[in-house]
Amino acid sequence: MAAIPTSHYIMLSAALFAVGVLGVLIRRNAIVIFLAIELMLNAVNLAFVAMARHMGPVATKMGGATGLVDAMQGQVFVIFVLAVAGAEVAVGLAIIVALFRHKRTLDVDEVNLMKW
Amino acid sequence: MAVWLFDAAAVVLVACAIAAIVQRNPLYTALLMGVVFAGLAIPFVLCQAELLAALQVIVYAGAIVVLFVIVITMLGSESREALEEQLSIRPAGTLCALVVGILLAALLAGPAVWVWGSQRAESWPTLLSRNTEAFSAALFTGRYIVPVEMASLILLAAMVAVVVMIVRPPPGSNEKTTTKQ
Amino acid sequence: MLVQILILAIKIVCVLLFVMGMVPVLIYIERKLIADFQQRLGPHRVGPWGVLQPIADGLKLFLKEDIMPANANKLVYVLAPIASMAPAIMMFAVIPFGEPVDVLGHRVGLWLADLNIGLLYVLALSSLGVYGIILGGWSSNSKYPLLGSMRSAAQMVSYELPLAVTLLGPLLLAGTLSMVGLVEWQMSNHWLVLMQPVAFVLFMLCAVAETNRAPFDLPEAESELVAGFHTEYSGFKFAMFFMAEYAAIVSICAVAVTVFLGGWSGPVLPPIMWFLIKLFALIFIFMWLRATFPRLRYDHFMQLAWLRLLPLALASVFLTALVLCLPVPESPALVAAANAGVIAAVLLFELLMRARRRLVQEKG
Repeated sequence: MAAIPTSHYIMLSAALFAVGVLGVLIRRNAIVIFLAIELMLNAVNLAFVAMARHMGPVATKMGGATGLVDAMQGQVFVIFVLAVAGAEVAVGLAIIVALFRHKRTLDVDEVNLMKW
Repeated sequence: MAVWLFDAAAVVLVACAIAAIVQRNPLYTALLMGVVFAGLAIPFVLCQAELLAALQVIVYAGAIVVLFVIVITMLGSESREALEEQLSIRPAGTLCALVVGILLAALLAGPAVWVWGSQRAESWPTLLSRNTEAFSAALFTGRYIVPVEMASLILLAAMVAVVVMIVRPPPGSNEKTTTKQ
Repeated sequence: MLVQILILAIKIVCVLLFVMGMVPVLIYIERKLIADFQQRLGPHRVGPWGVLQPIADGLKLFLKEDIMPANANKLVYVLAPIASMAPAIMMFAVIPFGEPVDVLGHRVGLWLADLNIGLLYVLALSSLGVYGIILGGWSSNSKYPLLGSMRSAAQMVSYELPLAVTLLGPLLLAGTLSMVGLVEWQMSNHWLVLMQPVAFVLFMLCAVAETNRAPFDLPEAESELVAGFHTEYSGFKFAMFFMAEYAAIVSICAVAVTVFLGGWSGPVLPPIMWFLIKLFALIFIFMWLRATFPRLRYDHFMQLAWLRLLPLALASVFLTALVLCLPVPESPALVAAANAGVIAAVLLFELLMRARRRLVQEKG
């Protein structure tokens, strides 16, 4: 059973990241933009995990306990990204809801009070 | 067999992501993104990160997207975008996204980067093949203890921030004798 | 290789038949049991002792007119019952039904998949179970379903937390997330319920709340919200919501049996019989709770989740971890004593609260 080359994972990650960038640039609905940002975060998570798998055997060969920690580094990053993304979504949605209560619209182009 | 599973999953994921971005109804966007987030567990499992795959489904598809869906169903029906304006941004935006994607793929997946390790990852040593134990060894012994505790503080700060921003006292309840909320 | 696929296919068919077959059985048992609790007869006309009642119910539902409300979101309206049913059935993929048997020369475990993250898979599916309810309520384009679905979503999300935390105690003791691993640990040691009684009780409470069963069924109660999120559903789609609820009950009871009650372990009878006996015992407890307790008010059961169950679950896990860290030989009695301490502390707290309330009442 041939293993999947790491570059395939990275290309999938790049494609998803590009779709996320597309979403942020094109859409005006605040919630959809936020979802696209989450998609970008997920693409980066995938890249982390793929690289952890790629570097794993090399890192563990380098020795002992630090070798294990280094091999798992990518996956540990992903755990922290999960935790912080959860916090960020909660706060971001709270901001969007507060904004909606104030302006009755989710269009980000309407949020332009500081434009001069 | 793993290769065609990955290829099928990759095609479905990118298709769902693009479909999510072009949807007019934000609820469809959220549901399709939920599919993408849950589907990302497949590459994670293929990378032998099973704990992360389960956590991805629990946290992203099972909590974050649920939060999005709740917010959309409470607010979203009044928030359709007017398609007539701002169509000029679309070609520029698509071009930017294409450039970003191609640059990333070329830089990261190109042959110049793979200095260490082989293109096809070898099998992992025994401890690493048990993903949960490897995680606990990495997270709780050594340099990641402080970030773990800080992550819990971040989550606490986020909870406090959300409650402060969202919870409003009901109208006319500024007297001292109101019941607890 | 082909034999493996054939065995897997047969196992899948068996599990599906089990799930689909349990639903009518549960419907009949529930109606008869609740009738017994309420000192009446229950279904007794359709077939001997009313055993054909579920079939009659099913026929009625299938032949009913399939109504779709005006301005309902058609795609999501049709998708919601499916989204409700899928996680409930998928949970059966990791549940071990019995000891490995020898079939055609192969050693076949009576489970579909032994994931090394089995417990997390269960938690993931219970998280995904919220979708069917939210989508069903919202897509009906009507007030009562929307309210009921939002309440139910908040309820399910809130009770997921104590559910997950109570599962940490058995995880600490057994050292494995795999369901088969948990059962095998309990076979060589003893049932985890003896060492984690608090966790077991909390798990059962959270399971009742997760499946939207009484006394936590405000979101689908007839007297409050017409029928909550499935008000506008009729015919086959309503049947799917109904089946999804019963399948969820069976699956979460099966998880409780596996994690706390030792899965298939037992002395004389074949292991799968023991599994079924324990499963039906827990399902009986579910129905007993429904027949006995009045419905909790929405803010009461949210307070229950956040202010009482979650701290209790955390305290139980903390004490278990503390006992395991102590430099004494690992003894089950100590862990059980720690749990008993938690129970005693809770009872003491409740008694003190009641005494205080009585004092306040007598004064004022």
